[in-house]
Amino acid sequence: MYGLIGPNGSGKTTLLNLVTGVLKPSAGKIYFKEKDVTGKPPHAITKMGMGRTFQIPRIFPELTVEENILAVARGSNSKDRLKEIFDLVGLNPLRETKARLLDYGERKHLELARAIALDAELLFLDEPMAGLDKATMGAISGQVRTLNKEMGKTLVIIEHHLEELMQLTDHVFVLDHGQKIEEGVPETIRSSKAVHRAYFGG
Amino acid sequence: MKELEPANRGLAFGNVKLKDVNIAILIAALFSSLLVPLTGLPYLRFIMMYFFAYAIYTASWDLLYSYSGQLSLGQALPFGLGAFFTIMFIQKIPLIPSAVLGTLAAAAVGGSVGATTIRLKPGYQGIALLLFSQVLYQITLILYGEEGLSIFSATPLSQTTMYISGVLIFAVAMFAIYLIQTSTYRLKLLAIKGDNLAANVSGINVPVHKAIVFFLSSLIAGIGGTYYAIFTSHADFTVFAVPNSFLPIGMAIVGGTGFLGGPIIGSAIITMLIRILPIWYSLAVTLFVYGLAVMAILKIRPTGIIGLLLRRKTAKGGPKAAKG
Repeated sequence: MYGLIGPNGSGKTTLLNLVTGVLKPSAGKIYFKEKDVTGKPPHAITKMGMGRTFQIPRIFPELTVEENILAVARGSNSKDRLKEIFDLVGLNPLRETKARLLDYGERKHLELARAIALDAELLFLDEPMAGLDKATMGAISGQVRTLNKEMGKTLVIIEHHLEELMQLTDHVFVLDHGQKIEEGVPETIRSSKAVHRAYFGG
Repeated sequence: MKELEPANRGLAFGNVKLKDVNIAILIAALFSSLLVPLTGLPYLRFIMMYFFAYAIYTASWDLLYSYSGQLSLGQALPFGLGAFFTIMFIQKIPLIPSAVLGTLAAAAVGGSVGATTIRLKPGYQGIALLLFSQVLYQITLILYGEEGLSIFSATPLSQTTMYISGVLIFAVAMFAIYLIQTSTYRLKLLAIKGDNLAANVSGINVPVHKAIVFFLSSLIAGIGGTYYAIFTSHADFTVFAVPNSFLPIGMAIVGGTGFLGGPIIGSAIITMLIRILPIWYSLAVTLFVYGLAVMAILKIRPTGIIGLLLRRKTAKGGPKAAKG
């Protein structure tokens, strides 16, 4: 499980948009599983095994919670698999509810469920805890751990809640002004002067 | 335009789900269609033939709008192409192959034109398609003049054959649309409509599916146009006129968008209105009443006539999700 942090405007989401094909790079190459994915459309990159969520959850409002998953699910669509996904994100009781009726936290859960349903090996989670209360943040943390430890997914988490991120991740990258300024285990990042400078100046 | 639930959920008609109401409306329309010849009123039978063509036409527009979020203000393009191509082919080959080829040609050209606009935002897309239809308006006016093209046959089809063909075409086209609207494929389309980017990063090839819907919509509009040309024995530049492009929109507003019953009800009401009122009143009065009906529906019941019968189920389906 990897973390990607940096001050506002450091380029975290831009990097994610580039990697997932939402933006096209003006220079350089992007490789995934040793294949050049530079400039490929997002759906093609997703089919190669990369999934993502957004900072502000993007759902399919006219579909029910279950249909949000069925519309995109890859691999098995069996009832057991759906139940497993909904159990994990805690949305089982809302399966028949229109997605537009969900509150913000539920939308975050739904987006995570949809990303899981893609059966991607690599998942990028863009600020999964932004705007959530402590309880929901705790729930998301638990779900992310399960995804990593029990389901074997590789996760890259972009997050402003640094304490939660440090507890979750094994390795953290730090960006500032579009450049990687530090990387390492959470302890290294905590004690890095470069990271302190990026966040607090000086 | 406010919509009902295109996903066919969340609405109920008593204990019957909307999905079934659509079929009930279709069956009621077919049953009424079969009763009309028994009335012995030839003009009513002729109006019903307009209804068959317009209902298919309206459903083609609604499929595009309600199921993929694409707005066409030039739906007369595939409809008119179906009419023109069919009559052009009839000059050379028998009627049935002409009708099939005319419809397919309308789907091919209409779909290809539509596919060029899929990256535009709905408003701009609508205007672009309106302009394309106006290009056809001018081209057909220049090529065929105000008189257009007509079918001259030594052995014309009987009115009964024409009518029964209309019932069958209407039934098949509407049932095909029903199958699309109740298939799992609709989930992909509604996902695209809901959020293009989220659909794209979820592995849905958005441009391809948008283009597919355009071809399907053009095919269905082409069927309507083909039948229109056959029963009127005529096609001229006015099929591409702006009012004809707005006709299915008005009908869908009146009937309700997002499900099969809407276009059927809307087409039935507006067809009767615009075909019967001119018997007693001028065209201006007819159009005024038509416009008034559309505005009244938008104001009073934005979900269309069907919204008067159907109630929206807004309550959440169950208790809140556990947060952990």
